[in-house]
Order: sequence, then C-alpha cells, then structure tokens
Amino acid sequence: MTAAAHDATFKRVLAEHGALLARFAASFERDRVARQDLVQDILLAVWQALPAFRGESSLKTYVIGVAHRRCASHVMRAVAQPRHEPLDEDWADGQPGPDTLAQLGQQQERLLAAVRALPLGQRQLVLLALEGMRYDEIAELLGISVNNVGVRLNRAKAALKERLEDA
Amino acid sequence: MNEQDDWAGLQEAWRGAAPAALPDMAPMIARARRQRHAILWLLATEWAMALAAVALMVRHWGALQANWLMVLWCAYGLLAMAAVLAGSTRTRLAALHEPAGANLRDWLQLRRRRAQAGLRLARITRWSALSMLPAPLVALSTARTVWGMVWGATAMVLLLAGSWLWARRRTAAMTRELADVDALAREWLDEDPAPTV
Repeated sequence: MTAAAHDATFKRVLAEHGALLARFAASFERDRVARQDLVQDILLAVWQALPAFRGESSLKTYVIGVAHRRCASHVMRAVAQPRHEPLDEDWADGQPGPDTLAQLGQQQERLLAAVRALPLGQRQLVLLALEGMRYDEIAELLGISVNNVGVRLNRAKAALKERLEDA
Repeated sequence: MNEQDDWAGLQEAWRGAAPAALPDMAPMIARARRQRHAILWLLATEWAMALAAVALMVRHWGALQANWLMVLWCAYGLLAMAAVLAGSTRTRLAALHEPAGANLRDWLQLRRRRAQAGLRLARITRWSALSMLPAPLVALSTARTVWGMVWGATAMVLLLAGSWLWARRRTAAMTRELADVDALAREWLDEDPAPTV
C-alpha cells in the first residue's frame, strides 16, 4: 500500500467508521479523558494495521477487530492500574453542551449504562451484535465457534434485558 | 412487539447516538512515523556497530591468534552479541506492526508467544551478562596503557550492569504481560489460560 493509498483508506475509515470506534471506546471507558486517549489509541492502531489489510474481510470487520483488541488491552491495563475518579456518563467526547445533552435520548443513555454494566465477556458480544455483526463474523473475530457465539450471545442479551428493566 | 423487534430497536438506538468528535490524528500519525524512523535508524546503527566490531576482530586476527584463549573469548562475545541483537531486532520490528487479521484467540496466542520470546531474550541476556563478568578484568589485564585500562574496564562494567538491569526490567514486564494475557483469555473467551513458559 502506497503512502497516499494508506492516507486515503484511513480517511475513509474515519468517515465511515469513526462513530463506531467512538462507541466502542465509550463502552469500555467511562472517564472522558481516558476515553479520548483510548479513541486515539484505537485510531493509531487502525492506522498501523491498514497496510496489512488484504480485503479478506470487509473493512468494517477488520477495523472492528483492531478496535476490539485495543479495548481488550485497555481494560486489562485499567484493571491492573485502577484509577479513582468520578465517572461521567456522556456519549460525546467533547464537553457536552445543552444541545448535545438534548440529543441523547433516554433510551440511549439507559442502553449505554446497561452495556457498561455487563461482564466483559458478555459486553463484547452485545457490543458486536449491536454494531450489526453477524454470528459468523463474531465467531471469526473472537476465534470461537458459531454455535458458541449463539449460546453466549443469547445469555448476554438476556443479561442486557435484565439490566435495562432494572434501570 | 417480539424479541427481534426489541433487538432491532436497541440497535437503532445504539447506532443513532450523537456522533462523538474524533481527535485530530495528524500529529499522532506524524509522531508514529518519526518513532518508526528512529527505531529503524537505531537498529541500523546497532548492526553497523556490531559489524564494526567484527571488522576490528578480523583486522587484528593475527594478534589474536597468538592467544587461543583470547580467540575463544572474542568468539563467545560476538556470538552472545549477535544472539541478543537478533532477538531485540526481531522484537522491536514486530512491535512496529499491529498484528493483522488475527482473531482475539490468535491475537492472545501471539501476545503470549511474544511475551515468552521476550522472557527468553531476557534470560539469555542475564546469563550472557553473568558469564561475561570477567570481561572488565580481561580489559584491565590486556590493556597496553592506563587510559585503555580505565576506558575498557569502565565500558565493560557499564555494559554488563546495563544488560543486567535491562534483563531484570524485561523479565518483570514480560511476566506481567503473560499474567494479563491469561486474565484476558479467562475473562473474554471464558477459557482456562494455556500453560505459560
């Protein structure tokens, strides 16, 4: 991949999947500053991984794979070095003004809170399914069987439903 | 409303969230490019210095041959240097690339293998440093001038101490990495960790 093609593909990723990557980061990091760092980390990893993209899967699946692994690393680092700071619950990365807050539907806020409350193993499955990935794509991404995805995703959906009802 | 409709509604709500502002990546990418160049230059410099050491040895081959112990010592030093250099070059080149196309399970395996390779490299470095402990004494005993004696012994002590400290830090970091990988496999894939090392 030439440098120009690399830059062009990266711009395409930002335009088409930037919001998805921000949602990924929001699901695994509640603190605003740490979340911005995580988004940067993910984007940098995507930039580094793009030259190796051979088109064997869709660009979206490829990018999600990179983001997923970065989030996994981030969570383990956060577990190893816990921080003590107030958590914020906003979706947006910038300082949310009244307009931004108004855009956040109550259902979206509840959904994000419920997703964040899930155990990590279930959270990743729900997140991938919410992003519209098929069972076979999730199985490929995680390296587990399609049947296993079905069983575990059903459990995860039930857990999400419980949390949404509790909220 | 059935379960499928519920789920479709959740997906819609999820993806319809207010778009977040993405950070400006240009400075980070520029920095990553600079770091990549710096690492490549550093590697090239290290290999050039190693080649210079070999060239010096070849140049003074006649003098070395007079003392077979010295020949053995130099050959051992060169081999140890080549092993550590090759290992560290491989590790740093691998770190420049995001592993591509791997699923989470493969990626964890890759991280585990890299950590184990890092541990092995640290172990080789530590044992090399230990076995080369007499190096400052050799430098002292073979130097022809006082200046050469001081310079040679100091350089050797610094090299050995640096290697030892690096190996210690590397061992701690790689042990932590292995523990992280095991925890990831347990938490994210619901599987028992593979035996490490």
